[in-house]
Amino acid sequence: MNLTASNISKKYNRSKGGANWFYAVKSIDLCIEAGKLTAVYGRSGSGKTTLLNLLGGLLQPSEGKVLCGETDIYAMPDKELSAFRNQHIGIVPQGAAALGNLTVLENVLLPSLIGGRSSDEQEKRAEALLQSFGIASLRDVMPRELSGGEQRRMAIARALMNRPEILLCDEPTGDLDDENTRVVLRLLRDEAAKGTAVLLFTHEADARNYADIVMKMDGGSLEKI
Amino acid sequence: MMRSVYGLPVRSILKKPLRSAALMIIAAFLAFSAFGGSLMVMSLSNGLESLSARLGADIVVVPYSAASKVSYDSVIIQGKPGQFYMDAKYYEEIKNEIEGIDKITAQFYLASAKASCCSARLQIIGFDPETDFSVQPWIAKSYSTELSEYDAVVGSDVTPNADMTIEIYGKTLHVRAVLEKTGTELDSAMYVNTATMKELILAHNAKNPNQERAIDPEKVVSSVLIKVMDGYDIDSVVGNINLYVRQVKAIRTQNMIFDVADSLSGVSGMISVLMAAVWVLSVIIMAIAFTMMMNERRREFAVLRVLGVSRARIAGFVLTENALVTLVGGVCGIIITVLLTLLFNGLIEQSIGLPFLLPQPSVMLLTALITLLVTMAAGALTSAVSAYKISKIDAGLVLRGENE
Repeated sequence: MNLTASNISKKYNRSKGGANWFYAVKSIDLCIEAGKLTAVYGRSGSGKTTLLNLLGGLLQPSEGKVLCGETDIYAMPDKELSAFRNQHIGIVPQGAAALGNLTVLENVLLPSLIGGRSSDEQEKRAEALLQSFGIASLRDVMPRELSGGEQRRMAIARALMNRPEILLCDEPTGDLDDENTRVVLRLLRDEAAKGTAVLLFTHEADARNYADIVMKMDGGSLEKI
Repeated sequence: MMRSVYGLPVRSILKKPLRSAALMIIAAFLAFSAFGGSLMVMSLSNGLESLSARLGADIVVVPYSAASKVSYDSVIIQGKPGQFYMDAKYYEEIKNEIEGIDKITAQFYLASAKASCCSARLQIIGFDPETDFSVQPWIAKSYSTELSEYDAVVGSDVTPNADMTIEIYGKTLHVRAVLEKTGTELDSAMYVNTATMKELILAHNAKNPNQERAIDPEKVVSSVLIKVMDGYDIDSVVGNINLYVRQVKAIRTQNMIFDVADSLSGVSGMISVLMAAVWVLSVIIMAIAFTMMMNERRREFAVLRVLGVSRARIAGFVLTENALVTLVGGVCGIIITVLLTLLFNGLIEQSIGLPFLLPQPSVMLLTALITLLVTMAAGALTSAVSAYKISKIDAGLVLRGENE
C-alpha cells in the first residue's frame, strides 16, 4: 500500500486570536511507495515531525489530503482513524517512547492488545520480533534498564507488531553510536524489502546508503535530491 | 503478562505505589469525612428518636429543688447517675386532684456506689409494676415476664456476673434481661420494681450511716410520670400542677426533648459545616494532584495515541484509573470509619453528651454505598478536566519534547 500526500499544508497562528500565520509544512506532494525506503533529511525545525504527524494521522492538515491506498484517512472520525493507524501504519516516534510500566515484551505486544487481539500467536510474533532485533533476552526487562540503541530497536519492533503496510520513523538513529545506527538502518532496509512503505526522517548521512529515494526538507517544503 | 489494553490503568496504579497511595489517602479522607459525618448525624437523630419513644410520658413532675435543669434533664433524659426525692404525698395529690390524667406512675432513682458489675456509678431506676407505662413497654421487648423482688433488667452496657447476678449494697440481684441499646447513659442503668428499690434504698442507708438525711423509701418518690387523657391540653395540665401542687415542678417532656434536639441540631450543623470544608479542600487537593500526575504522563499517553488509541479511549483510561484509585481509597476510608466508630462508640457518646445510637447495619451499608458512589463521583469530577486535556494532546509535539 502506498501512502500519498496530496498538496498538504499545516499552518499555525503565532498569536492567539490574531492572524499571524506561519506554515510548518507547505503544499507538499509526496508518495511513499510500498517496498521502498524513502529517507528525508532536514535540520531541526524544518517541519519533519509535523509532516510525520500529518502522514501518520495524528495531525489534521490545514489543507490537502493524505491517502493510504485509496483511503482518505482524515475523512474518518478519530475512533476509526485510530483503529486504522493501529492496523496499517507503524510509527517510531522520536526519543524514548516506551511505556515505563510495561516490560519490553508487553511494550512490543501493545499494538496488538490495542487492536483487541491477544493470543499465544501474537505473543510468539512479539518474541520473534525481539529475536530478529537481537533483544530477545531482554523480554522481561523494564524499558528503563535498556540502552538507547535497545530502546530504538524495541520501538521499531513495536511499530512492526501489527505487520503495518506503512512504517514512519522519526529520527530513529538520533543519539545512537555508529554500530547501533547501522543495525537500525539495516532493519528498516530489510522491512522495506519485505514490501513495507518505509519513510525515514533523519540527520544521519549514512542513511542515503540504505534508501531508495532521498529527499530534503527545509522551511516546510520538500525537494527530491 | 498483560492480556488486555484495559489492564493499563491497573498496571499504572500498581507500578507507581506511592503516587497511587497518595491519591488513595485523599479519597479515603473524603469517604471517612462523609461516612463518619453521616453516621454521627444519623446516630444523634436515632438517639433522639429512641429517647422520645422510650420516655412515653407527656409530663414529668420532679421536686422543685431538682428543677435546676442540669439535674433532672441529665437524670431523666440522659440517664446520668443522680438522685432526688420529693414527698410521696405529692404523687397522691396530683393523682387525686388534677384533672385530665390518664395514667400516672412514680419512679425512684438511686445512684449506686461502684458495684461489682460496673466501672462507673450505676443508675438504679425503680418503677411500680402496677402503674408503670413508661419503662415496662420498653423492657417488654427484652423481657416480657413481670419482675419479682430482687429481679433486675439492665442496660446494654452493663455486664452482669457469669451467673447473671449483680451485687448492690450487699444485696444480690438476678439479672433477667439485658435491654436494647438506647445511645444514652440509660444503657448503664438498672431497672427494678418498687419493692426491690425500697430494699436497695434501705441497704444504701445502712451503708451510708453518715449521710445528712436518710432516705425513707416509704415516704418519697423521685419523679412522677403522667400520660394525659385524650381531649385534654397537656400544657393546661402542666399549668394546673404547677399552680396547685406546691414544692414540685411539672415539665412537658416534649420541651425536654426539644432542648436535646436543639443541642443536637447545633452539633449536626457543626458536623455538616466541617464535612463540607473537608470535602471542598480535599477535592481541590485531589484535582491539583491528579492534574500534576497526568501532566507528568503526557508522553505515555502520546505513545498510546501513536499506537492507535483513540482520544475517547485515552480519556477512558484516565477516568478508569481515577475510579479505581477512589474506589480503593473510598473503601479503605469506610472500613476505617466503621472500625473507629465501633471502637470509640462509647467515647463519642460520652464526649458529646447527647443520645447517640448507631443506625441499623442495613442503613449503615446503604450509607456506605452512597458514600462510595459520591466519593467516586467527586474523583471523576476532579479527573474530568485532566481526561479531556490529555485526550487532546498533540502526540507528535509531546514526543518531540516540545510544549503544545
